[in-house]
Amino acid sequence: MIIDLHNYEIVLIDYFDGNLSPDEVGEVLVFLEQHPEIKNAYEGLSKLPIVSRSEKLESNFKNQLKRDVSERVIPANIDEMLIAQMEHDISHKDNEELTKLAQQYTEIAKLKNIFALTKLSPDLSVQFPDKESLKKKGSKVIYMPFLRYAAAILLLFSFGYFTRNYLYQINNDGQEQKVAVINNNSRPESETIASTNNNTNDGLEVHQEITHNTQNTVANTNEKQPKINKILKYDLHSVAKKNSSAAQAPELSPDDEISHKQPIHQEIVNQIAQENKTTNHEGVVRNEIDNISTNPNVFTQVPPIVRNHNEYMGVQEWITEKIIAQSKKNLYEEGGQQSDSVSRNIELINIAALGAGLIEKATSTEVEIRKSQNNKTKIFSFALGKFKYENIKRLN
Amino acid sequence: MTISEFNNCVDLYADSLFRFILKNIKDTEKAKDIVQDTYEKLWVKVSHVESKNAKSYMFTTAYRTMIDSIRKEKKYSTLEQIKEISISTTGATLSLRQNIDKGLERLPEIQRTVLLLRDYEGYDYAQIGEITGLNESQVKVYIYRARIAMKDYLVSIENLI
Repeated sequence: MIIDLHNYEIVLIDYFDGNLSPDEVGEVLVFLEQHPEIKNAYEGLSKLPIVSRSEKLESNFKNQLKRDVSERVIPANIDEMLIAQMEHDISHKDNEELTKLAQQYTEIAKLKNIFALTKLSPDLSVQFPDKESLKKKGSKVIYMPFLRYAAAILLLFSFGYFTRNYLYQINNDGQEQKVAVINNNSRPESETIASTNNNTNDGLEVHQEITHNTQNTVANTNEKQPKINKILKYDLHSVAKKNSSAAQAPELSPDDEISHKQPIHQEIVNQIAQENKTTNHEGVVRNEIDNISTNPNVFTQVPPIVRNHNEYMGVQEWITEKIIAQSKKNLYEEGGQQSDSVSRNIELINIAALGAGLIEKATSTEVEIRKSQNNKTKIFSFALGKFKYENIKRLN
Repeated sequence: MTISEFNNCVDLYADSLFRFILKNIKDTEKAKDIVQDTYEKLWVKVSHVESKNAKSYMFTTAYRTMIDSIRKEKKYSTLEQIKEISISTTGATLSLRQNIDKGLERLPEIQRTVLLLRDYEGYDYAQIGEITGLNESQVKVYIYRARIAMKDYLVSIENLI
C-alpha cells in the first residue's frame, strides 16, 4: 500500500477501524510523522471508541431514531383534516383514519378538542328586545312607484264624479264650504298681453288673460287673433254665505236672468259658427265662450255665473253648459247630429276639473287640469303638486 | 307572503338575526336598528318574497345593511377608537366563552361573518355565498382560515395559562 496526500483519509479510516495489517500500520505511522499537520488534525480520532462488529446498539437508542406514523400526518395536513371532519366535508375513509389517530395519539385528540371549540354556538339568552314592534297588524302594503300616481288620478276622477250632484245641492242649500277650480287656459306658445285679477262680491275670483295665440292660424289672413283665457276660482264658502242671505238681497231680477242667459247662448252659437269658418279650434269650449266678450272686467260688471237672485251657477251647471255648448258645436260639425261620445268626453274632463278643485282646497296642493287642441296637437295635462303628467297627441 | 307569515318570521328569525348582527358589530342599538331596517325592507317587498325564502332574504339584507353601517362608521372612526381596539385584555383572565368571543372579534370581518352564518345558522357554503356575495370556494377558504385563526388564538391563550 502506498499512502500519499490523495488517499490518506481512506487509509486513516481503515487504520482507526483496525483493518490494516501491521506493515500497513507502520506505513501510516511513518506518513503521519512526515506530515505533522495531518497528524494533529486526526489526533482526536484516536480517542473515538472503536465499536466492534459484534457489538449491538441499545434498543432505546433505536427507538429514539424511529419515527411515528402520526408524526408524518400531523405536520402535513392534520388541521385541514380536522376542519374537514368538523365541516362534514371529509371522505368516509379519511374520517375513520382520523378517528383512529385521535384515539391513538393524544396530540391529535387535543388538537381536535381545540378545533371543536372554534365551532360557535349562539347564546340563546340574547334576544331581540321588542319583537312585537316588528309585527304588522294592518293590511298588506303594496309598494309600487307608479301606483301612487295612478291612485291620485283615480281619486281625482272618482272624487269629482261622486261629488258633482252633491255639490250642486250644497250650493242651493248653502250649508257647505268648498271650492272648485276649473282651469282651461292652456294655450301652447301663447303670449300674454294683458292680465287682470278681479274678485267679485259673489265669491268668484276671476283671472283673465288676453293673449295672442301664436299658433292660431287664420284662414287667408296673417292676423293674430286675441283670445281670453280664464281661470275661475269659485269659492263656495262665499257662495254659501251669499246663499244664506239670498232672500234678503236679491240682486238680479228674472229679467236679468233672461237678459244674460239667452244672449250668451245665442252668441255661443254664433261665435262658434264664426270661428268654425275662420279659425282652427284650439282649446276647449270654455275658451270659445270666453271670446264672447273682450272686456276683461265683464265678470266684475255682470257675473256670468249668476243666474237669478238666489241661485248661483254651480260647477255642475257650468259643466252642463259646456256640454250643451259642445253639443251645439257638434251640430255644426256633424250636420245636426249630436255626438254622445264628445259630450261624454267633455263631461269627463269637467268632472275631473271639479275633483281637482276640491282636492286642491282639501290638500292645499295645487291641482291643475288642462286640455287644449290646435290643428297639429292635442294636449292633456294633469298636475298635482310637483307631479305632472302630460299627454301630447299629434293630429294628422 | 301573508301578514301572518311575516309576523311568524318575526317570531322565528328576529332573535337569530339580532344575535348575528350583534356578534359582528358589538353594538346593541345599532344591531336593533339593522334588524328593524331589515324587517321594514321585508315588509316593503312582502308581496314578492316567498315565506320559504324569507330567512335567506333577511340575512342577506341584514348583512348588507351591516356592511354599509360598518363602512360608514369606519369612515368616521377616530384614532382613539382604533387605539381602544388594539388594547385588549389578557386572555388568561377570561373564561373560555369570553376567549372564544375574543378570538372571534379578532377575525377579519368576512371570516367572522361566514363563520357565524355557518355555526349559528347552519347555512351551507352555497347559501353563505348567496348572502355574502362570495362563491362556494371562497366561503370554504374563509371558514378554514377562520377556524385556523381561532385555533391558533386558543392555543396561544392555553400556553399563557
